[in-house]
Amino acid sequence: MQGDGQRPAHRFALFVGEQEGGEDTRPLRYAERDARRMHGILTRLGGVRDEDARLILSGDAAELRAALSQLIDKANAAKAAGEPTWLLFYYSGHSKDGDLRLRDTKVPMAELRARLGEASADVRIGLFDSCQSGVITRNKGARAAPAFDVQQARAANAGPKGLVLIASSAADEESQESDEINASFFTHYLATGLLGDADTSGDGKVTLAEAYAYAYGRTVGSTAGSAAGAQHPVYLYDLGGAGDVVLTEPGNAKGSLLFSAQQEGVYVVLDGGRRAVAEVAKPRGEQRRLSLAAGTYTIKKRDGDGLLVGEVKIDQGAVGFDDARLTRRPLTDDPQKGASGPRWSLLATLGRQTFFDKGARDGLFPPSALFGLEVAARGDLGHSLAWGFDLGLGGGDGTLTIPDLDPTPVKFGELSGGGSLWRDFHFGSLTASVGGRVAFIFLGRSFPDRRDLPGQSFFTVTPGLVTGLSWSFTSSLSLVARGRLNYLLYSVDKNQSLGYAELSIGVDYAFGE
Amino acid sequence: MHSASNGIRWGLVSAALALCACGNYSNEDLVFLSAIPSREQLQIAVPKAAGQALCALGEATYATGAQTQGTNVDKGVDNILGLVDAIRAVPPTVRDGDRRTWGPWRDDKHASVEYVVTMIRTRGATPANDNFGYLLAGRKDGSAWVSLLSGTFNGSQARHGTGALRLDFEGAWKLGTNGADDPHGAIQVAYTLGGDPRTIELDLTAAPGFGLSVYHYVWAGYADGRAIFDFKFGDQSGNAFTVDARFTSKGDGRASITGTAPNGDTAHIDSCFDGQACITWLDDIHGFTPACGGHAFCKLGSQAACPSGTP
Repeated sequence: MQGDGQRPAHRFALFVGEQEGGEDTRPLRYAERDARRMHGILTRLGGVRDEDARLILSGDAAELRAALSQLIDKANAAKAAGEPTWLLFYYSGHSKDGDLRLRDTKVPMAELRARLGEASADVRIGLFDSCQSGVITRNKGARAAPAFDVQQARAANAGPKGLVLIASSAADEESQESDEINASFFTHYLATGLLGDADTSGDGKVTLAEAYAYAYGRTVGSTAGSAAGAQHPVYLYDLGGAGDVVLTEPGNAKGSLLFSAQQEGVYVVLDGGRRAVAEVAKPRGEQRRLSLAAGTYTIKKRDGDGLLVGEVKIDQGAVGFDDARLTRRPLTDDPQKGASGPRWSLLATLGRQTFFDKGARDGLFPPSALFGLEVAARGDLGHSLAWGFDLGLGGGDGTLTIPDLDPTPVKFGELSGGGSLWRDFHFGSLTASVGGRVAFIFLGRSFPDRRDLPGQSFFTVTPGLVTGLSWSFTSSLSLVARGRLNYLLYSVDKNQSLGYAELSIGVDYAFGE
Repeated sequence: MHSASNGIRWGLVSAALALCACGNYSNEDLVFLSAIPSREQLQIAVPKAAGQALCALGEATYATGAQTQGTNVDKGVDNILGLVDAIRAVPPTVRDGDRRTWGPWRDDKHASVEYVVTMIRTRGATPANDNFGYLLAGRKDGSAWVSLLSGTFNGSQARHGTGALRLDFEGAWKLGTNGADDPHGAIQVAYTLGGDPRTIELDLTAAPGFGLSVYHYVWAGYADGRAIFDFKFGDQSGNAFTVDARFTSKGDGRASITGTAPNGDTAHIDSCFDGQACITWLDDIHGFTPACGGHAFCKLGSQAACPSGTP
């Protein structure tokens, strides 16, 4: 990545997504996804190392300030060590009356601008996708224009130095989200551009100027006909020195999707979760290259009164496709349909179950191993609430020890299915969760050494509490430690309802970006 | 209003599901069922004396016959236990403290007849002193219940205690569910499983059955494999033999036999046999045994050849 012309810049980046804006605001639907998406692109294509990136979802002002201070300190240290340094701040969420609104807390945009302005990193970039975010660019030199004026900067000799602020909408405009693209307009087009569609020079690099011009044009074009009116991104460009600020280098990426010069039209690229990861407006006569992470993608293109749909698998190389090989479908069969809801994830766990009462452990339900699967949905209820359904299978061997019988070997098994509702609390890459769960459980046992004793079973309901701690080590994968406290309604001989715990660890995979 | 009705609906669904908590996952059921002897527990184990060897003094047919009679006694006990064994397959209809009830259920072959099994526990000072009583009763067209099979058991579980079962044929005759060849009277089984030896008795003196002679069959089995078996059998000439056979764990042993001819004459034989079911010593005053060639005061072999380890 570009630095002072000799060495690549050491890049630090903070990404913040917050869907709740507190009083007088409606929850956003895609702010967290926007932040995850930008985090994924900049760490994959933008030269930001994982350890130099922070992603805050559903955080508050204190968390934002602490993370920003930490990154500024790291950037200052790198700068002091002689490295060329860049610092990037991205925000998607609510802003109002000059403040970023993170749930019930606020961060004045003036404060952020000051923090970025004072940081010693050579290049400081602020990207704000929120209503009236243009407030932050109000100053001498602020522009609401389709492209940067960088003539003066190119004249200098040193590498780029200074501050660039880009806001998704003017100070008196709303920034809009769209269920059709599962994102805010500005971030959606900025992301598409950074993946390679904004590389108008064709050098395999997307500069800040190219990305802005691309996002501006596509955002204004897509929002012009909306009920809220056209949304105009604005910028403050205060960079000196020479050279472009290269944000991503999709040309160096391993996997990419190629659009041939003959192809023409608007192509939407959907990920495995059927969410749009890019929307390419392809003119005839130009070749385009979109850098994508390895995976299977669906491509759709509007064609008259129908859709052309096909799949491509991206791995290490460049993959092209032919419009003629796409399948024609009616508009009602849009593969993106229904993808505007929550972000789905699948959690697989291994764990152990044990009853608190020793008599129950010895005489009724021996401790057993558990395997679990859980499908969870986040982002559709607001307030950082999530919900999910789980299935568990467990079993083990034990010895039945009750006063009236000789110790008797027993084989025990259980099958459970439940629904949970919980709230996530984000602390950087750590997420704690607390909630409730109701499950149905089928318990069974047999006595392999006692043919005279029949197998027994029981079906009942178990309300309980669920808690967890997860650590996201990629944008899609997390390590999860999960605990449940359950109450088993058990009353065959008499009411013997009792509590038990389940502890498990697992891996969670979140679909989509 | 819409959300309120939804809430009520979900509440009712949840309550219904909670109420359907059901199953037979019960330790108490296990205790009750353990008081009923299983077929395996009441199996007679006669040490096997291998027959069909070429025997110098002849074959000890009463030793090999013990196997046959033991099998017949097993079948008889099996038949009785089978009547109550069915309750292991279904959970009790009523659980009420120290009482369990299965049924009533209809007889598949006699629609007007229904059965019920009741089991009552009387607690002792310790579980080992508990007493269980159970009763299989039937009734026809709603009339009074008639006892078909009853049993008692003392102890915490069948493998450690003593018990008895009584099969009342009179009940089946009253209900009209009897077979044409069924006897009148009762067959009784008594057992002691907790000690050494284990004993199993099948008393057919009041009502014959299962193809066995009218007799009180007694078996005692030791933990080391030795056994005593008192049984009776007949031959094709109409002679009847009551046998007191005592086996070592190797299958050899000694037997005291009383033979009764159709005319009432009796004779007594003492003998020993080896593990091949060959006679090794014989004292047959009347010369019943074929090896005696019809000579009275028949003594064959050496008494020193008799095994010393019999019970």
